[in-house]
Amino acid sequence: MEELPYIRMVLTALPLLAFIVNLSFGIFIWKRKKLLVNRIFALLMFAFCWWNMGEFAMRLVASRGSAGAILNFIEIAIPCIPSIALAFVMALENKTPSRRQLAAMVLGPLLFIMLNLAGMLANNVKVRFDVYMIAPMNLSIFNGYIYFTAYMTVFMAYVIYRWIRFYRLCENEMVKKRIRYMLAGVFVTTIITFLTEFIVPIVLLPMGIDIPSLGSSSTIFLTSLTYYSVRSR
Amino acid sequence: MAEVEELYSILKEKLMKSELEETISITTTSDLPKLDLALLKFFIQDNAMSGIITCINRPHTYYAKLLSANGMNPEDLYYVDACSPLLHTPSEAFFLDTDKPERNVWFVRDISDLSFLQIEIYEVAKRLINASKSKRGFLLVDGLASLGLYNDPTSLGKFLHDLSIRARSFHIYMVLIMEKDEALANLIRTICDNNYQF
Repeated sequence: MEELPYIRMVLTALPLLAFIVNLSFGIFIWKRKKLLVNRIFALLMFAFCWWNMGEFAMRLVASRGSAGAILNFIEIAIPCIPSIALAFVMALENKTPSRRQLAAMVLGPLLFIMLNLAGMLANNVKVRFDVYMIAPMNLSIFNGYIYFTAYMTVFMAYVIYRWIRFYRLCENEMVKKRIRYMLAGVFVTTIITFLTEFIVPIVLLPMGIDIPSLGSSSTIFLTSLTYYSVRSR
Repeated sequence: MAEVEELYSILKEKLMKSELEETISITTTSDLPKLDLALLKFFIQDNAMSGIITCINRPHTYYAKLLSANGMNPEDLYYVDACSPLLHTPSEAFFLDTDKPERNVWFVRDISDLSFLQIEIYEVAKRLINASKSKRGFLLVDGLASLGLYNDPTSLGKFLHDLSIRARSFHIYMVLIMEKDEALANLIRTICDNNYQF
């Protein structure tokens, strides 16, 4: 029997592990009190699960066509993540989104899902580290993924800005201490995702530098640190 | 601050002078936060005691700030908080899950049923005894007027009576703070060893 390469095994196991962690935590939060914050956070966990499941399936497939189709499947969930994260932060702040914010939260993901389904985002895959991952692409204004990267970066930066502002204004010391853990998870997940899902295919891969795609697996940091911060002691 | 210092001097002069004094009541017309602060200074700073605060009118975060601002460590105390679950900000509900106890904070969801409050106080009292070993702890109960809004005088009276007996059995120094025209004043006077009026 052919031995499975170590790197392939690790890269396949990581999204599966992240899926289990995110799903368990999503169910845990869903089963708590029926509050908007809990429901939105559970939704965020389920979006992560979608991403994890897609990435896990992509690591298992043997044909390029199937891997491309799975990439399209993954990119239905990813554009929704900043919107759900913003909705969560605003629910924590006890604020209702303005019409403009609501439009950005709905139309932004919708636009990129449409572009993705039309094949204008990223549907090209390549064998990297013994599994299928996103292929390198051109840094050109005709590349839809560039706009997607810009959208994700700006939106996530806004979400993190609001999160930090909320942390600074928070008066309850116990809550404040816990937001710190969650923020640490947000930073680690965002940096790993930004680097491996956006910078690598657009900038580093064409230069010959390769880092495996770890965005979905890095959600473990956010989820674990959030679990640590919300658990009762 | 002068009023707090004045109250603190009176407390220092009168409280815990006898081993037989286990449960006391204080009738006051002073502002309760000032009396609370004077009592906490007396217990924590002077006698190095640890204790339980029942948070009926103010959340535990209020007491934590009050203690920090006056050079005392809020982590040393236990709080039975019946106020935060009513405040219910989304961030507190998400991060603290007010249905479950925290490290030194126990939440009480419904003060109209005193058995919830009673159970939580006993749980915390056991925790306090285990943590403080042989050292004597204290239990500060204020907000009786507020408890009276949600409960009839008979159940409130039974609750206080039961609480005072348990506090004695746990060797916890219990302080009941009441308003001048407290409905249960007569009962409280009978269950307490000393009744002070400031």
